[in-house]
Amino acid sequence: MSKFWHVVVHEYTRHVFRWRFIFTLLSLPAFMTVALFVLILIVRLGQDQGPIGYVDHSGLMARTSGSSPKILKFDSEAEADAALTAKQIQAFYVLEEDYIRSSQVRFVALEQPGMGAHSQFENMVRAKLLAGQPPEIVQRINQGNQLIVRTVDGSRQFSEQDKIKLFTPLLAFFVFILAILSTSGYLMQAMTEEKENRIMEVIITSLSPSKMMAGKITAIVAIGITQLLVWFGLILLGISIWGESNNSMRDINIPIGMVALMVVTLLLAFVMISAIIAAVGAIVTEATEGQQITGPFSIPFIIPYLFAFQILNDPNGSLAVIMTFVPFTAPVTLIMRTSLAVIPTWQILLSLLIQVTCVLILVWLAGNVFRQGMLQYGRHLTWRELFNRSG
Amino acid sequence: MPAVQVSNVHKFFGSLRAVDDVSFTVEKGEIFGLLGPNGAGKTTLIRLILDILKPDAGQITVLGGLIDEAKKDRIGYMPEERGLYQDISLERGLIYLASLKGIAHAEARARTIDYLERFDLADYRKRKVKELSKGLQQKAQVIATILHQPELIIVDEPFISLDPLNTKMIKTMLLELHNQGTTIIMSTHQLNQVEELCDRIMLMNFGQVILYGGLDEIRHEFSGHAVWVRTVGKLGTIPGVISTETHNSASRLELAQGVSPQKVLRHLVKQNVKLEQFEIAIPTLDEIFIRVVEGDQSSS
Repeated sequence: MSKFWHVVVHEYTRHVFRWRFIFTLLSLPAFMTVALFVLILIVRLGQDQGPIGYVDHSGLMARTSGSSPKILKFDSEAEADAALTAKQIQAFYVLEEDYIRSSQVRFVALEQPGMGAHSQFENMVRAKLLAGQPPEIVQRINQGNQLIVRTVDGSRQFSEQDKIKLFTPLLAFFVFILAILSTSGYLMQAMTEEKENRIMEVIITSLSPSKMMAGKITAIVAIGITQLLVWFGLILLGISIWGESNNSMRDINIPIGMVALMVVTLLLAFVMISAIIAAVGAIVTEATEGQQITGPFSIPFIIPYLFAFQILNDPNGSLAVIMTFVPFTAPVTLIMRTSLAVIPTWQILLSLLIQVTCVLILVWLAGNVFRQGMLQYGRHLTWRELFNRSG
Repeated sequence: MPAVQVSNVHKFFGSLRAVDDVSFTVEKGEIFGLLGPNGAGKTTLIRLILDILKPDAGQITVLGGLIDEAKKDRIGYMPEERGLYQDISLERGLIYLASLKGIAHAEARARTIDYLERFDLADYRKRKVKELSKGLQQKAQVIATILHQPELIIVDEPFISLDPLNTKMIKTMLLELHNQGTTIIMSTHQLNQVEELCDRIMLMNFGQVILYGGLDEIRHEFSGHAVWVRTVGKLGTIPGVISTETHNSASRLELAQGVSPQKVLRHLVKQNVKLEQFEIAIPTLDEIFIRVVEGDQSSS
């Protein structure tokens, strides 16, 4: 095993097989699960689950049999009013005599009804209106239209019902950013600790600073990927347990080229951020100070989210194209654009080239800063020293 | 072929001349003492030799050529402020450091266990380094330095925070390595240890070499013109003696120009003085150090 891989394995196992990492790894999904359950509970508790009523002057509701225990029929508005006052029902709807022609429905309630009251009633009315129609007509009307948006050359399309396909890559990137921010703390802490206890001076007499930094950055990327795999695994597990969401998730079909591009850009982004963090870790004397400094460096990666409306609205517009060629904004912008438009191949290649170049420069810089910074105990490096090659 | 050859090396930190035109050689198999007051440039020089820092001018060759990664595997370094992973087990930390020196994992493990036993640290091998006392950490640091059996060892203040027993153990270990042909560069303020261990020394001040050569030569060079005499009874007037100082019943006689110690001895024998001690007054390294450094500081 080469020295580079010794560093990778050492750094990886040193952080991953620790209670602190396992706690962080599981705490986020646990927190989100608890938050979700609390949210559902709050909604359920705040929601009036009582029945609703209706008064039908049009005769529509008598067309076919079939009713719901949650929707009560009243013969007159006076009866319905009495039930409402006695809080036996949340609200009631009045279908006027000319409902078929005017489609007017009057809604009477003392306060806002619970979520789903309107849709329950609408579903019932729709079923009555469609009574006697052929089943395929009923199904078509119930499902509504499927609007398909297709790119000019037909190479990419998505339907309105599959919005999740568009948002999955963006969501994935967001989770990815979370992973970066949490794992970067380990790198920062390791760097400052090693500097503080002088272990760096010993290590640097065994291998070159750039090899050392490359090993550390690779390890931290591997830790991040581990974290992502566990999180996505837990998300999939949650979905399969949830059951209902399973069908819609199963239909997600993201083109393989887009997945490949996403993986490559995410990795490049991860290396870029890790190199910055490693460089900062070599300069600062305390991990907390380093985290304060690296915070602003992470912002450019999420800038495209701030301009999401403009980018999604005009994926090949000037703003989107410019952001594709800026190293820090390129990863998210590329993914946003590929979700909606066909990006010219030269733009993808140029963007990747810029990102790879940026990665190489940052890793070199991190190595240089590491060499310079590790001997500056209790003192900050100057800008000139950061780029000084002599060490 | 010397183990280390430093030729006209300069290193500046801004306007500070940390190392100023330094040249010296360390021969293979010798114990070389690197001395100097705090801030003299010793640690910077060590870092230059180890390629942690690059010289601004001059050239350094180590083990027969410019330093590269393969050569780093043949060097052991123990910094002044110790460097060990605090939050992992002692055994794991040592194996990792040996792996970085190109030792295969199984071999590194076997050597680690062996050295931990030799240094009475076997019981602590699963303990985290931060749980060990300073003395035990110091021993562990020594193991990390020699585990890969280097040809050249550079130790910066190896005896700091060691009790007399552990000091003796480290000293014995250094002499063992010396006998096996290992070259050792030792930077320390404990000059009595240098006198016991080193073959040659270099004294630095303000980044410059102010004294360099064999320990015996230097001591003779600084021996001056005096003798120590201890007698039964009172010492009378001796011709050719300029001044007399008495310390613990022994007298230090400062001789005039042209008066040899033999002449003084002949005079004492002729006078039937009962002698208990008669020796050339050779200064200790401490005395030479103070004299040279104070002289250098007053002249600069």
